[in-house]
Amino acid sequence: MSKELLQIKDEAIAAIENCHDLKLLNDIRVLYLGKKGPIQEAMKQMKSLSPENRAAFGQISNEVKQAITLALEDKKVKLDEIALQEQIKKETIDITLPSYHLDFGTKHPLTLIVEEMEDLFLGMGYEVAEGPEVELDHFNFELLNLPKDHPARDMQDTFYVDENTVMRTHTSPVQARTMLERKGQGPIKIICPGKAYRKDDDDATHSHQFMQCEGLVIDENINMADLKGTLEVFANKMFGEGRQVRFRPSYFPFTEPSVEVDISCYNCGGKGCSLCKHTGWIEILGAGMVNPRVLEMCGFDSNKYQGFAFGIGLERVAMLKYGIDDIRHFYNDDLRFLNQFNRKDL
Amino acid sequence: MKVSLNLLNQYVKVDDIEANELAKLITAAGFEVEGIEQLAYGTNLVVGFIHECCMHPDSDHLHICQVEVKPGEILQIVCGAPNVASGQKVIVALPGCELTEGFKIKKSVIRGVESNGMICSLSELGIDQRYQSEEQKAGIEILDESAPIGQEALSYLGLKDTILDIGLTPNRADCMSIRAFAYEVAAILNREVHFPQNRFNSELKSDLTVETRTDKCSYFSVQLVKGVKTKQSPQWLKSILMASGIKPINNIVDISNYVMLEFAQPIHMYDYNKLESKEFVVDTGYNLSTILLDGQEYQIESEDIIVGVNDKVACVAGVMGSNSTKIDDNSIDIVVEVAGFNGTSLRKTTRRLNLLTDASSRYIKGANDIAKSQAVLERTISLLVELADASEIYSPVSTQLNVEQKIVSLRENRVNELLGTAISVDDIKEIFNRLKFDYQYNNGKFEVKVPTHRKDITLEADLVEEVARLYGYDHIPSKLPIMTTTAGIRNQQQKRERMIKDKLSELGLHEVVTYTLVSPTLATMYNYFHNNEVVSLMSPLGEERSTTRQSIVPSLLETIHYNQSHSNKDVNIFEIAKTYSNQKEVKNLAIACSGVYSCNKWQKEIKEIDFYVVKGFVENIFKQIGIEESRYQLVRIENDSKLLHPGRSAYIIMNKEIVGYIGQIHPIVQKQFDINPTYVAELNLSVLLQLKTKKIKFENIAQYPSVSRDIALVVDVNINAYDIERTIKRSSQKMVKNVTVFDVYQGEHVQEGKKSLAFNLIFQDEKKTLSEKEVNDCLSRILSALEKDYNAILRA
Repeated sequence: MSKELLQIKDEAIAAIENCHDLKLLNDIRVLYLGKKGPIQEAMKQMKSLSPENRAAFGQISNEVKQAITLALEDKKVKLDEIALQEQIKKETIDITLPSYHLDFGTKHPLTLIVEEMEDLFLGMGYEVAEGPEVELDHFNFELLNLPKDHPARDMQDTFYVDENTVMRTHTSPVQARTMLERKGQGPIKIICPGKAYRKDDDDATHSHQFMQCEGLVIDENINMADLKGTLEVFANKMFGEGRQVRFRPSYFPFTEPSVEVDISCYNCGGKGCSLCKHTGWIEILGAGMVNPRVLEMCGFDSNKYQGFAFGIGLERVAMLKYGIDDIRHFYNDDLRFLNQFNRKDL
Repeated sequence: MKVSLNLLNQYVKVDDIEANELAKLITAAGFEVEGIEQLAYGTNLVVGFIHECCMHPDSDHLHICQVEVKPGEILQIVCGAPNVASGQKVIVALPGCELTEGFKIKKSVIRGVESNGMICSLSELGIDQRYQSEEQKAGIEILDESAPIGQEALSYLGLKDTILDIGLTPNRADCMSIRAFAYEVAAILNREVHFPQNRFNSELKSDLTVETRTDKCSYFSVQLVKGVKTKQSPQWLKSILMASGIKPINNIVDISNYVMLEFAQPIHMYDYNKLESKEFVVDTGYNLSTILLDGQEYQIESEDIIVGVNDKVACVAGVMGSNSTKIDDNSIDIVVEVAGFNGTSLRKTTRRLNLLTDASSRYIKGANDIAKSQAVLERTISLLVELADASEIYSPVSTQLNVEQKIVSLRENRVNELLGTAISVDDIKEIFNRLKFDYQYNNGKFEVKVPTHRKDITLEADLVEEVARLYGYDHIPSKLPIMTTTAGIRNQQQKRERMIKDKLSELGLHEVVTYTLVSPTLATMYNYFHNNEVVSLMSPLGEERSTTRQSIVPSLLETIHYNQSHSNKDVNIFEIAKTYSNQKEVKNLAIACSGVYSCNKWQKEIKEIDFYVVKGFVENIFKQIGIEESRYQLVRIENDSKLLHPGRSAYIIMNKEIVGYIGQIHPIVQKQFDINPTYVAELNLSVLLQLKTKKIKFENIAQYPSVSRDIALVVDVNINAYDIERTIKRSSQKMVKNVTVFDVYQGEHVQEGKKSLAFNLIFQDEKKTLSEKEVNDCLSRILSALEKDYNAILRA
């Protein structure tokens, strides 16, 4: 009888071995280990055996059962694995098909420049100040040492709303407003980004509406060397490391001394190229030491306080930085233009 | 300003310095050289003499000339100019000569006749036609009989000149005077200046008298000169004028222009014999029309300064003379006027008359130096003697000349305090010496006598600038400010504005920047935040840009039109900008969307923009800045709205105030802007950015399980889902934590005029697990409340 059992075991294991289907494997289990299976049948005959033989037979039949069970389990793991592999194979997709995502939104390139400047100057302890675009002549001109009929007013063609009100021609009135708010008490460290307006016909290099960013620092010992260093930090951030700053004498009624500021050309490194018109330098902004008259008119003691101010045309910065050749792009807002500014340059 | 280096070199030596190098040095001292050009071009140009000139046998306009180009050497040259003739001295371009634009002269054969060069016109030498007379433009240039044969022609004619084009800053209008400019160049180069001395002490007394009756004339001086002869100016003067951008006319006009070039002081001349009276009176208060020397009639008003004789206009002071007293070719006796007139007043007059002359612009810019009036007169008279044969010189008649000696002080330490430099007192002294500033130095303080032409120097800081620009800005060191630390932080509004821009661009929208100035029609369109008092410009560039807008939406609709007509069909944009009405500023945020919001076509995922997409943007913004849903509500707009689709638009109301709106552009407006269906939203950020909001505070996470139930209700079509939602929450007595609409249906199986709304309700209690009975009881409470409030019936 033991011999029979061992034969059944071999048969079952061979059947399991040859099985490649989970359902058939279950059938095999039922066939061999089920209540009507040969092992159960053999067990029924155990009663007729002598006690010694019974024990030995019992042991053998258990061993046979275990061996078949193990083989079944083994095979099931294998077949499950195969089934999973097949399922995975069926589920394979073309990973190159287009993704699902929201359209890439963009911030306007002028906003990118403003935010980059704000982040830089906030880090150096500046605050961001704002002021109205429809501005009083008083703030736009008079407090900036440009009295009515001053010849330098011709430098800026102004949109007048009425005799005392203008579309601000620069962001500088925010300087005056901030100084007056502080009631003669320093220090002041602000930048003022915003829109300004001049009576210019729109073309590739002129826009009646444009953006500026003003900077103003007032304290007891601020000097032109501080201005130079600050602008160097700006130039290096905006146009890459290694930029140098050059001052050229100039004139603005609200600063004295006044300078035009050039940065060393980031395209050629100062050797001379078409971008810098072979000078090695690119004109970028106007600056100077706040005119003592402006300090006094805005409530600051010019014997105690001094400071610097600078004003940057943001379209110019963006045009240089991104290589944009026509200022009208900023205001046409063509999506094919805007889509190119889908990230911040770090 | 055009500066002739030949002229400059008469006053300060610059001819040993390369023009480029000179330009760099001048630019570095504050006079930006914007261009360098040559007055004329050409090598191998000589003075020639035409011995013979006959017609070319095969041409009706060419001439064959025998020209002596070197004493004794005669070349045959074919010339096509109509004015060529034998016996003329001319400019000859010899073979090998290179004229403008790479044009090279070679020996050639013209219609069978050998030609060994070219006889030149001024234009061929590169001289601008606007400096030439009609005869000069029409033919070759004919030289003076005395021109020496064979001499290099450009040098002989004074045409070999380099011109610096200088952009003067408004504070240095004084340098419109080439003499003042020479002082600058001398200071820059550390060289000396030399000016011609002209002294005239005439004892002859004229019958002229002068009087000023207005404080707008600080000084008035006239001088009579007799026996003047009008003729051509000598070539040197013509060349200098051309190089300085002035067209030569005749000796009299040229002298007055030349003196103005030298001193920046306008001079005016009257024909003595045309004056009705010899008593000059300067006054305002005239009110009449008069013909000036351009032959045009002008209306004089009482603010204009008038030089009058016999109460008639002899000259509109500093602007233009009267036709009745003007110099002509027959004038013999001349009255020369030098005066100081108020620039502000002239500015008004020239603007009104539209007569910005070279003279008036010098007064307006304050370029002239009245202290030099005597020198100006003397220089003019000496030139009239030299170049116009003036024979009788009378002594000048003048009002009192008051020149104030300006003294500005400079504390020596201020220089380094302002510049951050270490400039020594000796350096400062040397700079002042170079500038020819007289000064006293005592106890660390300079008292500087500022030269009269330097009107720009009035403050200590102005002197610091003088030191800085001659010391050299390149020598200013670079450092960062050492000062009290300040907190560099944005305020609440600035933070929120930035969060909104971040959020909307993350949501796939594109930020745009459009123009504040729009047409009056667009300015008030979609105006929900301002009254109707627009801000209009006094003299706009055009109607299109004449008024400040009150809403950004019309500009965005234009942007959508621009893009959709440039094949960008799906346009989802936003802008934040300030808008204005009289006395009020509002910061607006506008969103405008047209077309597809997001899509993945192969997956059939296409989300078209609709009301709910834009509503989602608005809710995102409110959430982003911390404004809870309970603080605002949407209210349907008026039925008769002409701007927004009345059925698909809503106001956003907070505290009974309209803080924004969401909606579809009215189909009529959509057609007007020629765009596809478009949804917009606009918010009043001036209100929203300032709102106080709750700080984030942690709440316990519910520990007991929730129960989910779905209900479908049949209600009238005009019932708002939001109202039902609120009733569910209210009647559940806080047991319902969340309500979500998951289906809206109208049509088959639902009665006409009704709709089916399906909601998912989440029941939860913070303190215990809800029993089936508790949920059922609550649900029946809800259903009866809904039936009572909205006649809502549970759908089978």
